[in-house]
Amino acid sequence: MTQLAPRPAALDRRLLHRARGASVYIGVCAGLGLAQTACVVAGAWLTASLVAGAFAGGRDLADLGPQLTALAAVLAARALLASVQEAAANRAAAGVKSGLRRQALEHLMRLPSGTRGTGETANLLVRGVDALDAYFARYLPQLVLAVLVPAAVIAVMLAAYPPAALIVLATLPLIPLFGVLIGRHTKARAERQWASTAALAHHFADLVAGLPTLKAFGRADRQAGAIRVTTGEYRRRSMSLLRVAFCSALVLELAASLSVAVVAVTVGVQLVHGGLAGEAGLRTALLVLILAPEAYLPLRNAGAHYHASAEGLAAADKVFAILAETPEPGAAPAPDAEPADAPALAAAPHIAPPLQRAPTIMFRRTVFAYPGRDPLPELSLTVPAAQTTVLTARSGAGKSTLLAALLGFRRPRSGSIAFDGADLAGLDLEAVRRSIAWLPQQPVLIDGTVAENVRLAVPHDASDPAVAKAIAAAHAPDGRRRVAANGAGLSAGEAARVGLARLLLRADLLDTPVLLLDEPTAHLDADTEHAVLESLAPYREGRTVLIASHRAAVRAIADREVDW
Amino acid sequence: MTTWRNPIALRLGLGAVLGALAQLSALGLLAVSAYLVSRAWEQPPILYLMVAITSVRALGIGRGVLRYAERLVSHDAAFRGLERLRIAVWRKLVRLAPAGVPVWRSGDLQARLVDDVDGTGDRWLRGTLPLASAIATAAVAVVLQTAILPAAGAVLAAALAAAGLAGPALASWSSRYAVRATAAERGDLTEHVRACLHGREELVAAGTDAVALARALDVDERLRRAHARIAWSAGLGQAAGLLALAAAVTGALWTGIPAVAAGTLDGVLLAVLALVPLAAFEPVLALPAAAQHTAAAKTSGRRLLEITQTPDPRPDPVEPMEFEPNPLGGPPYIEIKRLSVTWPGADRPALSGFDLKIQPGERVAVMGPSGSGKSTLAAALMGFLPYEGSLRFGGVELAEYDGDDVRRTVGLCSQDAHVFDTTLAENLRLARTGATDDELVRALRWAGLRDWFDGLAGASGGSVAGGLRTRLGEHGRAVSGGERGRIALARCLLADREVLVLDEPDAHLDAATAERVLRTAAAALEGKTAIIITHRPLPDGVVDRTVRLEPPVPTPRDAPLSSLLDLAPRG
Repeated sequence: MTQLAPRPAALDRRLLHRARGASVYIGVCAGLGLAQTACVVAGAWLTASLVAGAFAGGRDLADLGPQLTALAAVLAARALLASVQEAAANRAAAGVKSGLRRQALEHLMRLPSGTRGTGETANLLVRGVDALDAYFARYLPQLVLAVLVPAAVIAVMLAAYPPAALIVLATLPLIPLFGVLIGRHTKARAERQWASTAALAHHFADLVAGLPTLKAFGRADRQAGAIRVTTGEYRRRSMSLLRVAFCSALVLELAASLSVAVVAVTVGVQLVHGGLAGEAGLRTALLVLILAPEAYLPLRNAGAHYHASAEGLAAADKVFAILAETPEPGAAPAPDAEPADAPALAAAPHIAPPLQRAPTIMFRRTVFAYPGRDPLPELSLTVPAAQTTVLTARSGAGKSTLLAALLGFRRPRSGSIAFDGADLAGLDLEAVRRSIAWLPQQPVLIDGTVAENVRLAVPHDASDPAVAKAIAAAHAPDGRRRVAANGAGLSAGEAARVGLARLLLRADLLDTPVLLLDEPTAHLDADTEHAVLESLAPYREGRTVLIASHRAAVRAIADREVDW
Repeated sequence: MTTWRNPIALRLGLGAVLGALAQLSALGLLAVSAYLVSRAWEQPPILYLMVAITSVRALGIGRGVLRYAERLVSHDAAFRGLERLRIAVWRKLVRLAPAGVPVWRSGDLQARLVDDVDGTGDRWLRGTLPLASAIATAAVAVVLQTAILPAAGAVLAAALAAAGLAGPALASWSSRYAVRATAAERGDLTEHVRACLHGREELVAAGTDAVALARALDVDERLRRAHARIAWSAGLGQAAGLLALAAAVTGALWTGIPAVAAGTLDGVLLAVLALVPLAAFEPVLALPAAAQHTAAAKTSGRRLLEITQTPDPRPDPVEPMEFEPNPLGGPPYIEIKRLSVTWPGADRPALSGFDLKIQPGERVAVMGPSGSGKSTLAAALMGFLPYEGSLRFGGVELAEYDGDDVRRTVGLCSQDAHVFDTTLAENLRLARTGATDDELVRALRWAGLRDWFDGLAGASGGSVAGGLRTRLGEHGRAVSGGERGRIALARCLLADREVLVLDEPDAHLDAATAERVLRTAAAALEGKTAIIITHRPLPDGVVDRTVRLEPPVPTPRDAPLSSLLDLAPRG
């Protein structure tokens, strides 16, 4: 439906500034636009002089042939230029889209997890950003032409017949003027309306998702009436807004067609009175008549392509919103970070070496809170050095949160976490992370072999024997087996063991003094569980191990169990 | 479009007529202007030109005003059509839910359904309407041109046809080509981005985030190259239209100039001949874009049609029995014999040969491994699915009753009960419209949410009403999985149905919480019939008895040879 969304004016500028290759494209766009403008003027002149030559000059095709050929060539060149323009635009758009995606993805890797849907974000970066093609290929070139063509038309008219130029000059500014006036008048309402469009779609989606529940309670049929009322109300409000909003299009159309009419009448009256006599006079009259509508055409086209470009711009807006988010504390600075960030870096704690031996970990009166939720209860807990501690607290008690906190991904609202008495907040986060091997509940799987996935345990290249050893110890699938990025090809149990192999490899190669395992055997049958725990035994020696699990077999290996 | 009845069809028709008239005004403006200028050059008395001058002015105003009217009329009609479509789809979905279509299996499918409904509204505005006015304008232009000079009319007709057909065809080919040529890269990139985001913390902790990022960026580079490689094809549709325009203008002069020289055409009309193609092509050049809107809307329409043509999984009986399964009041006697239930589209039953008798007021656990058809039993008891065998309430087959009547007596608390994006109170009052705040709080207590609710009420200044006004967020995201399940349980208890089916009420709970919740819920259900579906044994005293459910035996067709031999008559 008609786009009622107000477009932030700065967006277009941001898009063109941030995107590499965009400025080159604007240059190409202007060059091709100039060539097209030349074609428009030449075409009008040739058409006018052909008609005048035949009618007023009484000449036949034999005389006019070359001019007719030239006209065909000019018009064909215009078609070719339009095609080249679109191809160039799509090439440029490919680079801009890729640039946006890269920046967004690099930034996303530094933002806290869990605040957005991964599927939704992936879709935004791939399909959403693709919609920018329409903006680059159609809308922008028309904007360029909307500047060049009227200027050229006015210049030609000034030379040929100044009164016509005055008519165009008088009407053309009315268009942006009324556009701004009407835009200002409707802006606040359009914003509210846009919000209600989104709310309406969201409401309908929520109802559809909950339909089985509504039906179970016998409330589904009654909702049809509610949908009718909200949609009808929405239509009435939209229409009252559109009645005003369409006025800017009305001004544009009226200016375009009335100026043609006025030019035709003015020129006609002039001709009747003998002002533009002879073949040259007729040619001039026809030239200004053909050129007059061309002055308004790019503006009208840009309006027509506005809708197609809105989708891509909406996606770009969301990407910019992501880029504006503050990175997680402790995240590595962006490769292109502003120099202004440097003092903050210098103030950061000096790079400490990784923890040397198995530490005692202490949570002192820590309280964790998620936005919009009750904070978890205060917790004090000591994890003894070089022992295996199993957290058996009930679901939702914050076991995963504790593990993530040790890695610096969750910050306690109050209280402190200490490694061997040293507060985590004062330690170098990278060094702490280098000292820990962590198996999360759902290990990540990337597109590649099992071995490649296991190698993600350590930043440097792991040797083949080391990887093979870890895979064997974790009872993970064959290292050569292929895994798709969505985990297709592996069962949940196999995926868990790939994660475990990763943990073992990291423990082996980096000799991490701390192991954190989150529900390591949740998807395993009893036999595999037993075998896996057996393999883990030598790795637990001399390390501080913290496992979150309810399973009896896991609790059996604990030096200590903790519940709260 | 056929589902949009008269008032809307009339408005749409009016919109089309106004749109065509606006385009024709533009054509008329250019043609009359060309005539006016040529005739004026012959310097006749100005009186001869008054008609032309007046019509030029009228046409100049007419085009803008007509277009404005057309926009208002057609948008209003599209909004009305959308309203009607939304309600029609809703009514159909109500009959299909939850067994009929896979919409409720994923959020993506739901989002697509909502977009599809909105997308079909676009079809008229940006697809059909531009096509209608392009055809009207082209037809009038060809007639006008033919009247002036038949040969020029033929050239224009051919050029318009070429542009009207080749332009949209090339444009849609190139967009299909682009989608095909980049599909693999886009799919790969989506998965890589997803993996990076999903595994961000693990990767950052391992120091390998850069590795995963680099792999994703490699795929992105491949996608960029693929896009750049196919860029040339994008402008073909546009170029085809402009080439045809070039042919039309050149052709008009090429036929017109000799005719003027030969005296068969009045020279005054040569300018008209040359300018008519410009106006005639304006709407035709917009057709590639219109065709793409139509194609997108068609895809949406097809998907909606799939849904609206899906047969109801369990049509209500034409003359339903009066629902009075227990004339004395209270829960009915339930008798299930050789019950077999098959989901629509499945080739084998999810539940087969199941027997169970439940006395009024009894609490029964149905326990079985996953895949044994526990949730299917629940859906059948709710009247969501057709069945074979016998399922009687108070001696009458469930199939004889109207589904809504059944659901006034049987309630279901399913694993995937939806929590709406509104307040806690409104979510609960779905079950009972007039429930007081005290009743809501009591239901929350039954579901083991006392402490949780006290926390909410405390956060809003110790007021119960404030706590009930807490918003639960989209899909209940503001609360944890366990809390969401218990809110759904509270809602079911509040509904106070005579028979309540609880599908895995302990799913997201640890053992201790689960036991507490089951006990309070059981106490609240005193005197009602309860069927508790579970995959692990329930604590003592929660239910009166437990029945086991085994996965259905495979049908003979799929069964291994050995089991076929077992079925063969012996001796």
